[in-house]
Amino acid sequence: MRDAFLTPFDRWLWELDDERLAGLRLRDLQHAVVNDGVALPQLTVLTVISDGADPLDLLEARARGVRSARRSGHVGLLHARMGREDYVVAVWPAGDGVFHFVGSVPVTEAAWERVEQSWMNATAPHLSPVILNRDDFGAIGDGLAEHGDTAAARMTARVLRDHSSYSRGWPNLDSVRRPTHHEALSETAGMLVRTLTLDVGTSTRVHLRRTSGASFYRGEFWLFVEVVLNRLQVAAAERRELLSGREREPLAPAAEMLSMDVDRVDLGDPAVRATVLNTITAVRGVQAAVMHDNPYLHVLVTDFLNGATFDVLITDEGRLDILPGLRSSVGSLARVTDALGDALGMRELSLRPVSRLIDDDELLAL
Amino acid sequence: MPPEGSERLVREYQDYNRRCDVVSCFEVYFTEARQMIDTVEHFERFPRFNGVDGEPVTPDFTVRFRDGTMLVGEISKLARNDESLESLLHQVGRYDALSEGPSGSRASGGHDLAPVEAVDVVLLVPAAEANAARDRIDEAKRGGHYGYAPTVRPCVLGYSYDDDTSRFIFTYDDRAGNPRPRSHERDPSLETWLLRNSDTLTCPSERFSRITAVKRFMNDRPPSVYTATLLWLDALPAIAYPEMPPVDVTVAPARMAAWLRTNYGWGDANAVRGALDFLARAGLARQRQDGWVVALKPIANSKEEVRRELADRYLARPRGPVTASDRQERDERRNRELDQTEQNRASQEPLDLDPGIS
Repeated sequence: MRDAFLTPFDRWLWELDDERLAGLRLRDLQHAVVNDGVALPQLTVLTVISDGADPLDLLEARARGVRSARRSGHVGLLHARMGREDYVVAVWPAGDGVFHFVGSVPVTEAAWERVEQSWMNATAPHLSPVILNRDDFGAIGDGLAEHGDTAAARMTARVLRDHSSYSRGWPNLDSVRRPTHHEALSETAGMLVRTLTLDVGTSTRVHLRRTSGASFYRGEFWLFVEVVLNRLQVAAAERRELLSGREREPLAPAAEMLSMDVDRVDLGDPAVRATVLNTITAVRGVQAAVMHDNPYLHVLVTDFLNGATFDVLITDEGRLDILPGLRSSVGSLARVTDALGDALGMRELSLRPVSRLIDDDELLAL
Repeated sequence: MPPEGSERLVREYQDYNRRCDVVSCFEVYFTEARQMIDTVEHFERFPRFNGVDGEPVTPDFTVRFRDGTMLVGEISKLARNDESLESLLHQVGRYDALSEGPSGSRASGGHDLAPVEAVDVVLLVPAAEANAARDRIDEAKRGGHYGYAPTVRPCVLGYSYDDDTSRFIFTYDDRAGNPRPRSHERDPSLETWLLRNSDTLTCPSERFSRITAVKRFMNDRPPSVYTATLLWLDALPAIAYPEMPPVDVTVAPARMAAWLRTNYGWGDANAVRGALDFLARAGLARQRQDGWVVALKPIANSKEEVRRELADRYLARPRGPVTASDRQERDERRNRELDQTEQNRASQEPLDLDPGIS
């Protein structure tokens, strides 16, 4: 393998002997690399859920640009190339079917965009990223605040009402106190927070992304692992559990539905309903048919990548319901709910029990 | 701009889906309303049994109450012509004469039957046509037209959908002697509900849509485009599993109808054949001696949905090979023809009569 273009960190990681790689814990990465005289660069992380498939095997077989792969113990490494640039992506299991993809390629570069887009498409529906909601951003900030004062350095968001963008940066000036993560997030009512860059204490800077990712810019890497990646793992594992085993029995009344609360979007608006349909049909491999579209929306959805089916129903403003079908899959539900959540500004996805009985008076209300 | 025929197909689809929703509303009333369900022994969404004349009856739903009486529901779109009225009255007259009805679901599918003490019929008619239906039924009964002489007149309820509140609304009017469905001393009943509520019933989309999503059909045969869409997105991928599209799926209508019955509660081999014919005309299926083969594959692009795409393909009537084996056969035939052409050309070239060779 010609690897002349690997950065010092990538070369160090790729050339670690099997024994050291197998024993390397992610939280000890900074200690290990610095001890070997190599600087820890900024690191980019994408957290994904697996439906049980092995991510390393899948990526080695399907992902564009992967030149080779190696595995030692629980850690897998992929050596990839884009143009003349070589880079390494580590696949670190986080437990409960969740994996962190870790690389030194900055999130803004095409090589990482390929990881998030092309690689995820190629491994769908077995692997799927998850999206962070506002509570996740808040919880990560709270966790970091236990180790030092948090200060927002930059935040981007999308205004749901008109799809305009919002971006705000706070320079680090001695004379001006920057907002805490809570203060920054409080400015985003009616918006979908996309990224938040936080300083913790005096030396650590992290970057959080809605699309299940985060970057470590500098400072204490163990803190990034303990707080940020741990929360990403928890959010991903919760999502995996929420979306697992949702098949329903034929003809059985729906006892529960996946219910998505969305922020300040009028689901009765035909344009919004068109957005819902277009968002669903744009997910790779997904085919859908409108069963009913005026005024309530009912769409039958089938993932032709794995045969999973479900019904999407919008009967009330502010909420979108998903009734899993006779065959269900975590990957299919995750990809479609992520896409819908991004388009509509999902506040929360939860399992909503459906009351079997209704008071007669509710059917008689004029 | 979609072709006009495409709009017609989509309207047929929507109309059938709406009737599914109307039946689902009554399924809500009689299986989910907390007080009403105490009076109900069995709600049947897919009744099929023989009337007193020995011929099958298939109303749109039946409700057997614990007092041994039965409500028969029929959704009707009464056209202005006399044939339509005569047909409806004949149908209603047969329901009026029923002496038995569905009494419970069978584990193996279908339903049991038991004698009934009385029958009431409710006709569900689009609100705009409901008064005309009341008038015309009254005229027919009073004039003794079409031999219509029911024991009990059917109750005509008008139905409409209220966009603002996202719910169905059913209204009663006593015009032209239109009766409420009898209570037979039950309370609650449709009659007591109507009396208490200004002769109006409602059903929110949140409730009925969940039932339609699970049952998918009602007791009338669906338009082929509707069945074809459900086959394409649900039944065919399930039958093909674990293989994934694109894949050629070999199916027998009877087997597919059985799949529909198991999973949706209704399935009919003729309806499946109609849907397969539809897919064949859309260039997506082919009938063979041993059944049908369907070329299951993604057909709708990222801006389109399957229902519309199937309708457009049906109207376009594409020609050419359908399945992978069709394409292979075509390619092999072309290759054979090319070989044959080459051989013929070689055999027709002039003989080499070079005088130097002797």
